[in-house]
Amino acid sequence: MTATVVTETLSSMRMSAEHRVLIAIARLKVNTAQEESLGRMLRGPIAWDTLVDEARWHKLEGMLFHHLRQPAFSSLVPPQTMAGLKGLYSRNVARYLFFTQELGQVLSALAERRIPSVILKGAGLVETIYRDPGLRPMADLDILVPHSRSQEAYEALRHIGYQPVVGAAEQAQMQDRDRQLAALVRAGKPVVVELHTHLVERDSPMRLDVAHFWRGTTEVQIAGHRSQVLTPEYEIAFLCNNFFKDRRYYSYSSLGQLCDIAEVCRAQASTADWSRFGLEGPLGPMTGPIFCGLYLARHVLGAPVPDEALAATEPPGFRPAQARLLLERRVLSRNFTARQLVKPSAEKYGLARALREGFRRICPDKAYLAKRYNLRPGFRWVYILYLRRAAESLGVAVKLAVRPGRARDEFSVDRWMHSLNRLRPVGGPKAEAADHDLKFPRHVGDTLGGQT
Amino acid sequence: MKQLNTVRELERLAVTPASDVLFQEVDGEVVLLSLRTGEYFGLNPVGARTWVLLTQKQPWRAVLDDLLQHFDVPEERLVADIGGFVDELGKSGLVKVISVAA
Repeated sequence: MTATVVTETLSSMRMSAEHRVLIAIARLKVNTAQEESLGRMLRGPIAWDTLVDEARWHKLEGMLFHHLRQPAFSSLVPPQTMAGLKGLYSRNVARYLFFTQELGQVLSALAERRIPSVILKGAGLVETIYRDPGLRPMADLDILVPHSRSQEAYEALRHIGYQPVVGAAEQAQMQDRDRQLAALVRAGKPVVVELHTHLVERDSPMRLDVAHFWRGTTEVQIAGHRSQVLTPEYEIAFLCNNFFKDRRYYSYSSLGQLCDIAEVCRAQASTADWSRFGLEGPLGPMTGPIFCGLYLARHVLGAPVPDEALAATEPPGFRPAQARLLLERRVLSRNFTARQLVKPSAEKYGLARALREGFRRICPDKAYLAKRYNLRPGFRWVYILYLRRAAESLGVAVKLAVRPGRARDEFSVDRWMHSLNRLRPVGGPKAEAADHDLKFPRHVGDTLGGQT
Repeated sequence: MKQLNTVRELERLAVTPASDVLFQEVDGEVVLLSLRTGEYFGLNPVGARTWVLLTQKQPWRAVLDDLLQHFDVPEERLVADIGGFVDELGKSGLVKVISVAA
Protein backbone atom coordinates (compact mmCIF):
# COMPACT_ATOMS: atom_id res chain seq x y z
CA MET A 1 0.00 0.00 0.00
CA THR A 2 1.80 3.11 -1.13
CA ALA A 3 1.01 6.69 -1.87
CA THR A 4 1.54 5.95 -5.58
CA VAL A 5 -1.48 3.70 -5.64
CA VAL A 6 -3.48 6.47 -4.04
CA THR A 7 -2.64 9.03 -6.66
CA GLU A 8 -3.21 6.62 -9.52
CA THR A 9 -6.55 5.54 -8.10
CA LEU A 10 -7.87 9.08 -8.08
CA SER A 11 -6.11 10.68 -11.01
CA SER A 12 -7.31 8.07 -13.49
CA MET A 13 -10.91 8.37 -12.36
CA ARG A 14 -13.47 10.17 -14.43
CA MET A 15 -14.88 12.75 -12.07
CA SER A 16 -16.85 15.95 -12.52
CA ALA A 17 -15.22 19.30 -11.75
CA GLU A 18 -17.77 19.77 -8.95
CA HIS A 19 -16.79 16.48 -7.30
CA ARG A 20 -13.12 17.42 -7.54
CA VAL A 21 -13.88 20.71 -5.76
CA LEU A 22 -15.82 18.88 -3.04
CA ILE A 23 -12.96 16.47 -2.47
CA ALA A 24 -10.57 19.43 -2.28
CA ILE A 25 -12.64 21.28 0.33
CA ALA A 26 -13.58 18.26 2.47
CA ARG A 27 -10.96 19.13 5.09
CA LEU A 28 -10.57 21.79 7.74
CA LYS A 29 -7.28 23.15 6.42
CA VAL A 30 -5.67 23.21 3.01
CA ASN A 31 -1.92 23.53 2.48
CA THR A 32 -0.36 25.85 -0.09
CA ALA A 33 -0.32 23.26 -2.89
CA GLN A 34 -3.96 22.31 -2.20
CA GLU A 35 -4.91 25.98 -2.15
CA GLU A 36 -3.32 26.54 -5.56
CA SER A 37 -5.01 23.45 -6.92
CA LEU A 38 -8.39 24.56 -5.58
CA GLY A 39 -7.86 27.99 -7.12
CA ARG A 40 -7.23 26.39 -10.53
CA MET A 41 -10.39 24.30 -10.21
CA LEU A 42 -12.50 27.32 -9.29
CA ARG A 43 -11.16 29.32 -12.23
CA GLY A 44 -12.17 26.53 -14.59
CA PRO A 45 -15.73 25.86 -15.67
CA ILE A 46 -17.85 25.16 -12.60
CA ALA A 47 -21.60 24.64 -12.54
CA TRP A 48 -22.15 26.56 -9.32
CA ASP A 49 -25.72 25.43 -8.69
CA THR A 50 -24.63 21.81 -9.17
CA LEU A 51 -21.72 22.36 -6.83
CA VAL A 52 -23.97 23.70 -4.07
CA ASP A 53 -26.50 20.92 -4.67
CA GLU A 54 -23.78 18.26 -4.48
CA ALA A 55 -22.31 19.91 -1.38
CA ARG A 56 -25.72 19.67 0.32
CA TRP A 57 -26.10 16.05 -0.76
CA HIS A 58 -22.74 15.25 0.79
CA LYS A 59 -23.37 17.48 3.84
CA LEU A 60 -20.39 19.63 2.98
CA GLU A 61 -22.14 22.96 2.44
CA GLY A 62 -20.62 24.48 5.58
CA MET A 63 -17.16 23.29 4.63
CA LEU A 64 -17.58 24.64 1.09
CA PHE A 65 -18.53 28.07 2.46
CA HIS A 66 -15.62 27.90 4.93
CA HIS A 67 -13.12 27.58 2.05
CA LEU A 68 -14.79 29.71 -0.61
CA ARG A 69 -15.07 32.74 1.65
CA GLN A 70 -11.28 32.88 2.01
CA PRO A 71 -9.79 35.94 0.28
CA ALA A 72 -8.00 33.77 -2.28
CA PHE A 73 -11.29 32.36 -3.59
CA SER A 74 -14.16 34.67 -2.69
CA SER A 75 -13.75 36.80 -5.84
CA LEU A 76 -14.06 33.67 -8.01
CA VAL A 77 -17.49 32.76 -6.66
CA PRO A 78 -20.72 34.32 -7.97
CA PRO A 79 -22.26 36.56 -5.27
CA GLN A 80 -25.58 34.70 -5.26
CA THR A 81 -23.76 31.39 -4.73
CA MET A 82 -21.83 32.86 -1.84
CA ALA A 83 -24.99 34.34 -0.32
CA GLY A 84 -26.74 30.96 -0.62
CA LEU A 85 -23.84 29.15 1.01
CA LYS A 86 -23.71 31.70 3.80
CA GLY A 87 -27.39 31.06 4.47
CA LEU A 88 -26.75 27.32 4.67
CA TYR A 89 -23.80 27.91 6.97
CA SER A 90 -25.93 30.10 9.25
CA ARG A 91 -28.61 27.42 9.26
CA ASN A 92 -26.02 24.89 10.45
CA VAL A 93 -25.08 27.25 13.29
CA ALA A 94 -28.73 27.79 14.22
CA ARG A 95 -29.37 24.04 14.23
CA TYR A 96 -26.30 23.55 16.40
CA LEU A 97 -27.63 26.10 18.88
CA PHE A 98 -30.95 24.35 19.03
CA PHE A 99 -29.50 20.84 19.19
CA THR A 100 -26.99 21.64 21.92
CA GLN A 101 -29.72 23.29 23.95
CA GLU A 102 -31.81 20.14 23.63
CA LEU A 103 -28.76 17.97 24.26
CA GLY A 104 -28.19 19.83 27.52
CA GLN A 105 -31.70 18.97 28.65
CA VAL A 106 -31.35 15.34 27.58
CA LEU A 107 -28.01 14.95 29.35
CA SER A 108 -29.40 16.63 32.41
CA ALA A 109 -32.38 14.25 32.47
CA LEU A 110 -30.07 11.24 32.14
CA ALA A 111 -27.64 12.59 34.74
CA GLU A 112 -30.46 13.07 37.25
CA ARG A 113 -31.04 9.33 37.11
CA ARG A 114 -27.30 8.61 36.98
CA ILE A 115 -27.61 6.94 33.60
CA PRO A 116 -24.26 6.86 31.80
CA SER A 117 -24.32 8.08 28.20
CA VAL A 118 -21.95 8.41 25.27
CA ILE A 119 -22.56 11.11 22.68
CA LEU A 120 -22.09 9.71 19.20
CA LYS A 121 -21.29 11.41 15.90
CA GLY A 122 -22.40 15.01 15.24
CA ALA A 123 -22.62 16.73 18.60
CA GLY A 124 -19.36 15.23 19.83
CA LEU A 125 -17.53 15.88 16.55
CA VAL A 126 -18.56 19.53 16.39
CA GLU A 127 -17.24 20.08 19.92
CA THR A 128 -14.05 18.06 19.70
CA ILE A 129 -12.98 18.20 16.05
CA TYR A 130 -14.67 20.90 13.96
CA ARG A 131 -15.06 23.58 16.68
CA ASP A 132 -16.96 25.82 14.24
CA PRO A 133 -20.64 24.75 14.42
CA GLY A 134 -21.37 26.00 10.90
CA LEU A 135 -19.05 23.49 9.29
CA ARG A 136 -20.84 20.27 10.06
CA PRO A 137 -24.62 20.00 9.83
CA MET A 138 -26.35 18.12 12.62
CA ALA A 139 -29.34 15.98 11.74
CA ASP A 140 -30.16 14.31 15.05
CA LEU A 141 -28.75 13.49 18.47
CA ASP A 142 -27.36 9.98 18.81
CA ILE A 143 -26.76 8.82 22.36
CA LEU A 144 -25.54 5.43 23.52
CA VAL A 145 -26.96 4.22 26.83
CA PRO A 146 -26.31 0.90 28.59
CA HIS A 147 -28.79 -1.75 27.62
CA SER A 148 -29.57 -2.43 31.27
CA ARG A 149 -30.61 1.22 31.78
CA SER A 150 -32.38 1.74 28.45
CA GLN A 151 -35.87 1.60 29.91
CA GLU A 152 -34.97 4.24 32.51
CA ALA A 153 -33.35 6.39 29.83
CA TYR A 154 -36.48 6.18 27.72
CA GLU A 155 -38.64 7.17 30.70
CA ALA A 156 -36.29 10.06 31.54
CA LEU A 157 -36.74 11.48 28.05
CA ARG A 158 -40.47 10.96 28.14
CA HIS A 159 -40.50 12.85 31.42
CA ILE A 160 -39.11 15.95 29.67
CA GLY A 161 -41.60 15.70 26.83
CA TYR A 162 -40.07 13.38 24.24
CA GLN A 163 -42.32 10.92 22.44
CA PRO A 164 -41.52 8.16 19.95
CA VAL A 165 -42.30 9.03 16.32
CA VAL A 166 -43.55 5.56 15.50
CA GLY A 167 -46.23 3.29 16.88
CA ALA A 168 -45.63 0.66 19.55
CA ALA A 169 -45.33 -2.24 17.11
CA GLU A 170 -42.75 -0.55 14.94
CA GLN A 171 -40.88 0.68 17.97
CA ALA A 172 -40.59 -2.84 19.34
CA GLN A 173 -39.33 -3.95 15.94
CA MET A 174 -36.71 -1.17 15.91
CA GLN A 175 -35.59 -2.10 19.39
CA ASP A 176 -35.10 -5.64 18.34
CA ARG A 177 -33.62 -5.06 14.88
CA ASP A 178 -31.73 -1.78 15.20
CA ARG A 179 -31.07 -1.87 18.93
CA GLN A 180 -32.34 1.66 19.32
CA LEU A 181 -35.32 3.00 21.24
CA ALA A 182 -36.93 4.36 18.09
CA ALA A 183 -36.55 8.04 17.34
CA LEU A 184 -37.85 10.42 19.97
CA VAL A 185 -39.15 13.90 19.26
CA ARG A 186 -40.70 16.76 21.19
CA ALA A 187 -43.88 18.27 19.88
CA GLY A 188 -43.17 21.27 17.68
CA LYS A 189 -39.40 20.98 17.95
CA PRO A 190 -37.26 20.01 14.99
CA VAL A 191 -34.95 17.67 16.86
CA VAL A 192 -34.76 13.90 16.85
CA VAL A 193 -33.06 11.98 19.63
CA GLU A 194 -31.97 8.40 19.02
CA LEU A 195 -31.13 6.36 22.09
CA HIS A 196 -28.93 3.46 21.08
CA THR A 197 -28.06 0.41 23.11
CA HIS A 198 -25.59 -0.99 20.61
CA LEU A 199 -23.53 0.27 17.71
CA VAL A 200 -24.45 -2.30 15.10
CA GLU A 201 -27.83 -3.62 14.00
CA ARG A 202 -28.89 -7.05 15.11
CA ASP A 203 -28.93 -8.48 11.59
CA SER A 204 -25.39 -7.28 10.99
CA PRO A 205 -22.95 -10.16 10.64
CA MET A 206 -20.68 -8.36 13.09
CA ARG A 207 -20.58 -10.00 16.46
CA LEU A 208 -19.25 -7.06 18.37
CA ASP A 209 -19.18 -6.71 22.13
CA VAL A 210 -20.47 -3.20 22.85
CA ALA A 211 -18.73 -3.38 26.24
CA HIS A 212 -15.46 -2.62 24.41
CA PHE A 213 -16.93 0.68 23.31
CA TRP A 214 -18.03 1.55 26.84
CA ARG A 215 -14.45 1.00 27.96
CA GLY A 216 -13.22 3.15 25.05
CA THR A 217 -14.71 6.45 26.18
CA THR A 218 -13.33 9.72 27.40
CA GLU A 219 -14.94 12.57 29.32
CA VAL A 220 -15.76 15.89 27.67
CA GLN A 221 -17.77 18.97 28.47
CA ILE A 222 -20.64 19.44 26.00
CA ALA A 223 -23.55 21.85 26.30
CA GLY A 224 -22.45 22.65 29.84
CA HIS A 225 -22.63 19.02 30.90
CA ARG A 226 -20.00 16.43 31.55
CA SER A 227 -20.49 13.57 29.17
CA GLN A 228 -18.60 10.85 27.38
CA VAL A 229 -17.42 10.54 23.79
CA LEU A 230 -15.56 7.66 22.22
CA THR A 231 -11.76 7.61 22.33
CA PRO A 232 -10.12 8.23 18.93
CA GLU A 233 -9.71 4.63 17.77
CA TYR A 234 -13.26 3.70 18.77
CA GLU A 235 -14.59 6.89 17.23
CA ILE A 236 -12.78 6.10 13.98
CA ALA A 237 -14.09 2.51 14.03
CA PHE A 238 -17.64 3.68 14.67
CA LEU A 239 -17.50 6.35 11.95
CA CYS A 240 -16.00 3.89 9.46
CA ASN A 241 -18.73 1.39 10.22
CA ASN A 242 -21.45 4.00 9.72
CA PHE A 243 -19.89 5.16 6.48
CA PHE A 244 -19.70 1.58 5.26
CA LYS A 245 -23.22 0.66 6.35
CA ASP A 246 -24.78 3.64 4.59
CA ARG A 247 -23.03 2.80 1.32
CA ARG A 248 -25.33 -0.20 1.01
CA TYR A 249 -28.17 2.23 0.41
CA TYR A 250 -27.00 5.51 -1.13
CA SER A 251 -24.25 8.04 -1.46
CA TYR A 252 -26.12 10.63 0.65
CA SER A 253 -23.68 12.40 3.01
CA SER A 254 -20.86 10.07 1.96
CA LEU A 255 -18.12 12.67 1.47
CA GLY A 256 -19.19 14.38 4.70
CA GLN A 257 -18.87 11.08 6.54
CA LEU A 258 -15.49 10.49 4.95
CA CYS A 259 -14.48 14.00 6.01
CA ASP A 260 -15.43 13.12 9.62
CA ILE A 261 -13.17 10.07 9.50
CA ALA A 262 -10.30 12.00 7.90
CA GLU A 263 -10.54 14.89 10.37
CA VAL A 264 -10.60 12.58 13.40
CA CYS A 265 -7.52 10.86 11.94
CA ARG A 266 -5.82 14.23 11.42
CA ALA A 267 -6.68 15.53 14.89
CA GLN A 268 -5.86 12.29 16.69
CA ALA A 269 -3.08 10.80 14.56
CA SER A 270 -0.61 10.87 17.43
CA THR A 271 -2.99 9.87 20.22
CA ALA A 272 -5.07 7.13 18.55
CA ASP A 273 -4.06 3.59 19.43
CA TRP A 274 -3.84 2.29 15.86
CA SER A 275 -2.72 -1.13 17.11
CA ARG A 276 -6.30 -1.87 18.15
CA PHE A 277 -7.26 -2.33 14.51
CA GLY A 278 -7.03 -5.76 12.96
CA LEU A 279 -8.96 -9.01 12.98
CA GLU A 280 -7.45 -10.23 16.25
CA GLY A 281 -8.19 -7.04 18.21
CA PRO A 282 -11.30 -5.99 20.13
CA LEU A 283 -12.56 -4.24 17.00
CA GLY A 284 -11.88 -7.32 14.88
CA PRO A 285 -15.46 -7.79 13.63
CA MET A 286 -15.37 -4.25 12.22
CA THR A 287 -12.11 -4.79 10.35
CA GLY A 288 -13.62 -4.73 6.83
CA PRO A 289 -15.56 -1.48 7.31
CA ILE A 290 -12.61 0.08 9.16
CA PHE A 291 -10.30 -0.71 6.24
CA CYS A 292 -12.81 0.69 3.80
CA GLY A 293 -13.19 3.99 5.70
CA LEU A 294 -9.48 4.40 6.43
CA TYR A 295 -8.42 3.51 2.89
CA LEU A 296 -10.75 6.03 1.30
CA ALA A 297 -10.05 8.70 3.94
CA ARG A 298 -6.34 8.41 3.19
CA HIS A 299 -6.55 7.97 -0.55
CA VAL A 300 -9.32 10.43 -1.30
CA LEU A 301 -8.89 13.05 1.41
CA GLY A 302 -5.24 12.56 2.33
CA ALA A 303 -5.86 11.58 5.97
CA PRO A 304 -2.67 10.61 7.82
CA VAL A 305 -3.60 6.95 8.28
CA PRO A 306 -0.50 4.95 9.20
CA ASP A 307 0.60 2.17 6.85
CA GLU A 308 0.43 -0.28 9.76
CA ALA A 309 -3.27 0.45 10.33
CA LEU A 310 -4.08 -0.19 6.68
CA ALA A 311 -1.87 -3.29 6.57
CA ALA A 312 -3.54 -4.67 9.72
CA THR A 313 -7.02 -4.24 8.28
CA GLU A 314 -6.44 -4.96 4.59
CA PRO A 315 -8.71 -7.80 3.45
CA PRO A 316 -7.17 -10.80 1.70
CA GLY A 317 -6.81 -10.35 -2.06
CA PHE A 318 -7.63 -6.65 -1.92
CA ARG A 319 -7.27 -4.74 -5.21
CA PRO A 320 -7.36 -0.90 -5.37
CA ALA A 321 -9.84 -1.25 -8.25
CA GLN A 322 -12.42 -2.52 -5.72
CA ALA A 323 -12.10 0.62 -3.60
CA ARG A 324 -12.18 2.74 -6.71
CA LEU A 325 -15.42 1.11 -7.81
CA LEU A 326 -16.91 1.74 -4.38
CA LEU A 327 -15.85 5.36 -4.63
CA GLU A 328 -17.40 5.70 -8.08
CA ARG A 329 -20.63 3.84 -7.51
CA ARG A 330 -21.43 4.38 -3.82
CA VAL A 331 -19.68 7.61 -2.80
CA LEU A 332 -19.92 9.90 -5.81
CA SER A 333 -22.79 8.54 -7.88
CA ARG A 334 -26.32 9.44 -6.86
CA ASN A 335 -27.87 6.94 -9.25
CA PHE A 336 -27.66 3.35 -8.17
CA THR A 337 -28.89 0.73 -10.52
CA ALA A 338 -29.54 -1.69 -7.72
CA ARG A 339 -29.17 -0.97 -4.05
CA GLN A 340 -28.77 -3.38 -1.18
CA LEU A 341 -29.72 -6.43 -3.17
CA VAL A 342 -28.61 -8.80 -0.49
CA LYS A 343 -29.61 -8.72 3.14
CA PRO A 344 -26.59 -7.93 5.30
CA SER A 345 -27.27 -10.96 7.45
CA ALA A 346 -26.97 -13.34 4.48
CA GLU A 347 -23.90 -15.53 4.72
CA LYS A 348 -23.42 -16.14 1.01
CA TYR A 349 -23.52 -13.75 -1.89
CA GLY A 350 -24.18 -15.03 -5.37
CA LEU A 351 -26.22 -14.33 -8.44
CA ALA A 352 -29.06 -16.63 -7.33
CA ARG A 353 -29.43 -14.82 -4.01
CA ALA A 354 -29.19 -11.44 -5.69
CA LEU A 355 -32.01 -12.42 -8.05
CA ARG A 356 -34.11 -13.77 -5.17
CA GLU A 357 -33.64 -10.61 -3.13
CA GLY A 358 -34.31 -8.52 -6.22
CA PHE A 359 -37.63 -10.29 -6.63
CA ARG A 360 -38.44 -9.66 -2.97
CA ARG A 361 -37.80 -5.98 -3.51
CA ILE A 362 -40.34 -5.95 -6.34
CA CYS A 363 -42.88 -7.91 -4.32
CA PRO A 364 -42.40 -6.95 -0.66
CA ASP A 365 -44.98 -7.56 2.04
CA LYS A 366 -47.98 -5.28 2.52
CA ALA A 367 -46.58 -3.61 5.64
CA TYR A 368 -43.49 -2.53 3.72
CA LEU A 369 -45.60 -1.12 0.89
CA ALA A 370 -47.80 0.80 3.33
CA LYS A 371 -44.75 2.39 4.90
CA ARG A 372 -42.87 2.99 1.64
CA TYR A 373 -45.81 4.73 -0.01
CA ASN A 374 -47.10 6.40 3.13
CA LEU A 375 -50.56 4.84 2.98
CA ARG A 376 -53.23 5.57 5.53
CA PRO A 377 -54.22 2.61 7.75
CA GLY A 378 -56.90 0.41 6.20
CA PHE A 379 -56.11 1.37 2.61
CA ARG A 380 -57.72 -1.42 0.58
CA TRP A 381 -56.00 -1.13 -2.75
CA VAL A 382 -52.54 -1.91 -1.51
CA TYR A 383 -52.19 -4.64 -4.13
CA ILE A 384 -52.31 -2.07 -6.88
CA LEU A 385 -48.95 -0.94 -5.59
CA TYR A 386 -47.46 -4.21 -6.80
CA LEU A 387 -48.20 -2.96 -10.31
CA ARG A 388 -46.42 0.27 -9.47
CA ARG A 389 -43.44 -1.68 -8.11
CA ALA A 390 -43.41 -3.78 -11.26
CA ALA A 391 -43.40 -0.64 -13.43
CA GLU A 392 -40.54 0.83 -11.39
CA SER A 393 -38.64 -2.43 -11.66
CA LEU A 394 -39.17 -2.43 -15.40
CA GLY A 395 -37.44 0.95 -15.49
CA VAL A 396 -34.49 -0.51 -13.58
CA ALA A 397 -34.43 -3.52 -15.93
CA VAL A 398 -34.26 -1.21 -18.95
CA LYS A 399 -31.36 0.64 -17.36
CA LEU A 400 -29.60 -2.67 -16.75
CA ALA A 401 -30.17 -3.74 -20.35
CA VAL A 402 -28.88 -0.44 -21.73
CA ARG A 403 -25.83 -0.33 -19.49
CA PRO A 404 -24.95 -3.88 -18.47
CA GLY A 405 -21.49 -2.74 -17.38
CA ARG A 406 -23.00 -0.60 -14.65
CA ALA A 407 -25.05 -3.53 -13.36
CA ARG A 408 -21.90 -5.64 -13.28
CA ASP A 409 -20.12 -2.90 -11.32
CA GLU A 410 -22.99 -2.61 -8.83
CA PHE A 411 -22.98 -6.35 -8.32
CA SER A 412 -19.22 -6.32 -7.91
CA VAL A 413 -19.37 -3.54 -5.28
CA ASP A 414 -22.12 -5.34 -3.37
CA ARG A 415 -20.18 -8.56 -3.40
CA TRP A 416 -16.99 -6.88 -2.18
CA MET A 417 -18.81 -5.02 0.61
CA HIS A 418 -20.49 -8.25 1.56
CA SER A 419 -17.13 -9.98 1.87
CA LEU A 420 -15.71 -7.12 3.99
CA ASN A 421 -18.56 -7.58 6.43
CA ARG A 422 -17.53 -11.17 7.01
CA LEU A 423 -13.81 -11.05 7.64
CA ARG A 424 -12.77 -13.58 10.27
CA PRO A 425 -9.36 -14.40 11.74
CA VAL A 426 -7.79 -17.20 9.71
CA GLY A 427 -8.09 -20.43 11.70
CA GLY A 428 -9.23 -18.49 14.77
CA PRO A 429 -12.50 -18.80 16.64
CA LYS A 430 -15.41 -16.65 15.57
CA ALA A 431 -15.84 -13.54 17.65
CA GLU A 432 -18.41 -13.94 20.36
CA ALA A 433 -21.72 -12.17 20.12
CA ALA A 434 -22.48 -9.39 22.54
CA ASP A 435 -25.42 -11.40 23.68
CA HIS A 436 -25.95 -9.66 26.94
CA ASP A 437 -27.70 -7.23 24.65
CA LEU A 438 -30.08 -9.75 23.18
CA LYS A 439 -32.55 -9.67 26.06
CA PHE A 440 -34.04 -6.38 25.11
CA PRO A 441 -37.36 -5.62 26.79
CA ARG A 442 -40.24 -5.44 24.36
CA HIS A 443 -42.58 -3.58 26.68
CA VAL A 444 -41.68 0.08 26.82
CA GLY A 445 -44.80 1.82 27.99
CA ASP A 446 -48.47 2.02 27.39
CA THR A 447 -48.95 5.21 25.44
CA LEU A 448 -46.61 4.77 22.51
CA GLY A 449 -49.10 4.90 19.66
CA GLY A 450 -49.56 7.66 17.14
CA GLN A 451 -47.33 9.99 15.26
CA THR A 452 -46.04 13.15 16.84
CA MET B 1 -39.78 53.69 16.81
CA LYS B 2 -38.80 57.09 15.51
CA GLN B 3 -35.29 57.56 14.20
CA LEU B 4 -32.75 58.28 16.91
CA ASN B 5 -30.44 61.24 16.40
CA THR B 6 -28.60 61.71 19.65
CA VAL B 7 -26.85 59.62 22.26
CA ARG B 8 -29.27 61.00 24.82
CA GLU B 9 -32.20 59.53 22.91
CA LEU B 10 -30.41 56.20 22.73
CA GLU B 11 -29.73 56.26 26.45
CA ARG B 12 -33.47 56.44 27.10
CA LEU B 13 -33.77 52.90 25.79
CA ALA B 14 -33.17 49.86 28.02
CA VAL B 15 -32.53 46.93 25.69
CA THR B 16 -32.36 43.37 27.01
CA PRO B 17 -31.86 40.25 24.87
CA ALA B 18 -34.94 38.01 25.10
CA SER B 19 -34.47 34.99 27.34
CA ASP B 20 -35.58 32.57 24.62
CA VAL B 21 -32.90 33.67 22.17
CA LEU B 22 -29.69 31.70 21.70
CA PHE B 23 -26.69 33.08 19.86
CA GLN B 24 -23.36 31.93 18.56
CA GLU B 25 -20.45 34.10 17.49
CA VAL B 26 -18.56 32.78 14.47
CA ASP B 27 -15.77 34.65 12.73
CA GLY B 28 -16.90 38.06 13.88
CA GLU B 29 -20.51 37.50 12.91
CA VAL B 30 -23.40 36.27 15.04
CA VAL B 31 -26.23 33.84 14.38
CA LEU B 32 -29.32 34.35 16.57
CA LEU B 33 -31.94 31.68 17.09
CA SER B 34 -35.34 32.42 18.52
CA LEU B 35 -36.53 29.33 20.40
CA ARG B 36 -40.04 30.76 20.42
CA THR B 37 -40.44 30.99 16.66
CA GLY B 38 -37.63 28.72 15.42
CA GLU B 39 -36.42 31.55 13.18
CA TYR B 40 -32.74 32.34 12.91
CA PHE B 41 -31.01 35.57 11.96
CA GLY B 42 -27.52 36.50 10.85
CA LEU B 43 -25.85 39.66 12.09
CA ASN B 44 -23.05 41.38 10.19
CA PRO B 45 -19.88 42.36 12.08
CA VAL B 46 -21.31 45.71 13.32
CA GLY B 47 -24.58 44.09 14.44
CA ALA B 48 -22.66 41.18 15.93
CA ARG B 49 -20.42 43.46 17.98
CA THR B 50 -23.42 45.47 19.14
CA TRP B 51 -25.28 42.30 20.13
CA VAL B 52 -22.33 40.96 22.11
CA LEU B 53 -22.00 44.27 23.97
CA LEU B 54 -25.75 44.27 24.68
CA THR B 55 -25.54 40.78 26.17
CA GLN B 56 -22.72 42.06 28.38
CA LYS B 57 -25.12 44.73 29.65
CA GLN B 58 -22.72 47.51 28.69
CA PRO B 59 -24.05 51.10 28.96
CA TRP B 60 -24.78 52.80 25.63
CA ARG B 61 -21.82 55.13 25.94
CA ALA B 62 -19.48 52.16 26.26
CA VAL B 63 -21.21 50.41 23.32
CA LEU B 64 -20.74 53.49 21.13
CA ASP B 65 -17.12 53.97 22.16
CA ASP B 66 -16.34 50.36 21.39
CA LEU B 67 -18.01 50.47 17.97
CA LEU B 68 -16.40 53.80 17.08
CA GLN B 69 -13.07 52.26 17.94
CA HIS B 70 -13.65 49.22 15.73
CA PHE B 71 -15.55 50.71 12.78
CA ASP B 72 -14.92 53.83 10.74
CA VAL B 73 -18.28 55.61 11.06
CA PRO B 74 -19.43 59.04 12.32
CA GLU B 75 -21.16 58.95 15.72
CA GLU B 76 -24.46 60.43 14.46
CA ARG B 77 -24.74 57.78 11.75
CA LEU B 78 -23.87 55.05 14.26
CA VAL B 79 -26.56 56.23 16.69
CA ALA B 80 -29.15 56.25 13.91
CA ASP B 81 -28.08 52.79 12.70
CA ILE B 82 -28.19 51.34 16.20
CA GLY B 83 -31.68 52.78 16.64
CA GLY B 84 -32.81 51.01 13.47
CA PHE B 85 -31.04 47.82 14.50
CA VAL B 86 -32.66 47.77 17.94
CA ASP B 87 -36.01 48.46 16.32
CA GLU B 88 -35.62 45.45 14.00
CA LEU B 89 -34.49 43.21 16.86
CA GLY B 90 -37.49 44.31 18.88
CA LYS B 91 -39.94 43.65 16.05
CA SER B 92 -38.51 40.14 15.66
CA GLY B 93 -38.89 39.46 19.38
CA LEU B 94 -35.15 39.10 19.90
CA VAL B 95 -34.88 41.88 22.49
CA LYS B 96 -37.11 43.66 24.95
CA VAL B 97 -37.01 47.42 24.55
CA ILE B 98 -38.21 49.65 27.37
CA SER B 99 -38.21 53.45 27.35
CA VAL B 100 -36.78 54.77 30.57
CA ALA B 101 -36.85 58.26 32.03
CA ALA B 102 -33.81 60.39 31.23
